[in-house]
Amino acid sequence: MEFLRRHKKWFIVGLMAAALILMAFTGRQGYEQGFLRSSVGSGIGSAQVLFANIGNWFSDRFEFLRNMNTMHVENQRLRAENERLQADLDRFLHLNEQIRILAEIVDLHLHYDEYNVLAADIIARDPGNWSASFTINRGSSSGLAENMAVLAPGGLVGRVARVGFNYSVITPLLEDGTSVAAQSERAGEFGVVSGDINLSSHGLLRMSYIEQGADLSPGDAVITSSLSAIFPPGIRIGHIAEMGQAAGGLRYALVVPAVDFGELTMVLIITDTFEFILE
Amino acid sequence: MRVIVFSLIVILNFIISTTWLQGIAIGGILPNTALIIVVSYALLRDDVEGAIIGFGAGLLYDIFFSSVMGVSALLMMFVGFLAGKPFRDFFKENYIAPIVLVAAATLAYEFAFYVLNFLLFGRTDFLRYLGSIILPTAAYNLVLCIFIYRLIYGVNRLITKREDRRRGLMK
Repeated sequence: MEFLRRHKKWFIVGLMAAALILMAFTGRQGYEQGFLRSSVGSGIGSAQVLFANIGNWFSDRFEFLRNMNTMHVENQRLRAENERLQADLDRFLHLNEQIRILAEIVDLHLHYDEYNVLAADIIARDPGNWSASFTINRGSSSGLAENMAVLAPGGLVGRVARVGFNYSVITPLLEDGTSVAAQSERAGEFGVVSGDINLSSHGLLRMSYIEQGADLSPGDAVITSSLSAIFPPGIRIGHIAEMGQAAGGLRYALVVPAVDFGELTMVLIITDTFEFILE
Repeated sequence: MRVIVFSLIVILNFIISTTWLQGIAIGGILPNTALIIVVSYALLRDDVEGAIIGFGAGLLYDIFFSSVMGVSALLMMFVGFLAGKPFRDFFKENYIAPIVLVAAATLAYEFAFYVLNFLLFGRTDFLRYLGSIILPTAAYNLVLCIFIYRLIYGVNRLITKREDRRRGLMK
């Protein structure tokens, strides 16, 4: 330590150089997993799992006590919903069968029949206020890879940004700077849904690059479009809350996400990749 | 001894702030506890140790949440280094110095973070970021700093006592 104090200037310059080299090294295009990320990440990742589990245990007990009286009503409601969903599912299966038969007749190859899905718990969130990223307790050991789609009850959450051995970092749609190609469900109007930190604090997304004459109105459902480079088409993103006029003759819309990001504790990952590969 | 204890404190803080601490967000704003720890420690020790603990805490954040590693490490190192600089002889039981320094450090750190991660990518709407993120974080840090400084102060005094006693035995 005395040695460092005597050569203070050089020490600080050395630390700066170390940080800059690290930046240059990890900022390269196509940089994947470094030694630091994989080793330190796995170690601290396990500790985070432990802490998250302890925290969940307490909050579960707390929830249970708080919800005791409303549980009966909730149960009734869920039963009714279950009945309704069961009926829907029967109808859907019937339709699906018909579609399959019709597709066979016209010799159409059906893509993405069924996705392989994996459930994961959220173990940690970014402690800063600039980002909404979080980590989950599954990584490359469970077959996860970058850019897989992440879902939750309701619709699309985001994508897998980085994969460690036993954890992955998820970038949610709300994160500033992320965007996804989208379209409206009703009229099929295209746009790009992106996260904006000033909107996401109010729980909203922005859909931009909407043509002037587009047939869109508040309440329209927004889904991922077939133009998306990484997401499978048709996943629900949310619905339009408000339309606005952007500069340059284009319009934008404020979109309420289908997923309640604040209440998220578990996510589903589609383990098939749809990444668009340039040839 | 000192190295082990404060490494553990930094790592434990990281784990807690990514898991349990999410529950104490006010209006979606979380305090930056790592920054408070770095500033408090630098204040009690000196600039070189402040730079080291800052570098370590920043690196830990980078490993998990930054796409380009090293940005937070660099920023936190500067914060630790500067916080440990001109205050070697201040009255350590007084809370004014840590409070003022933590507020200043938070503003500086969050501003630099904004410049590096947002302004450089064309997000020029500074006043909105200032109002919605930078100032609330600084205010939250300012309040929490009183407790965390007290804690770091206590741990530091225990370790210093231990070191002094050991040194006494050696003579």
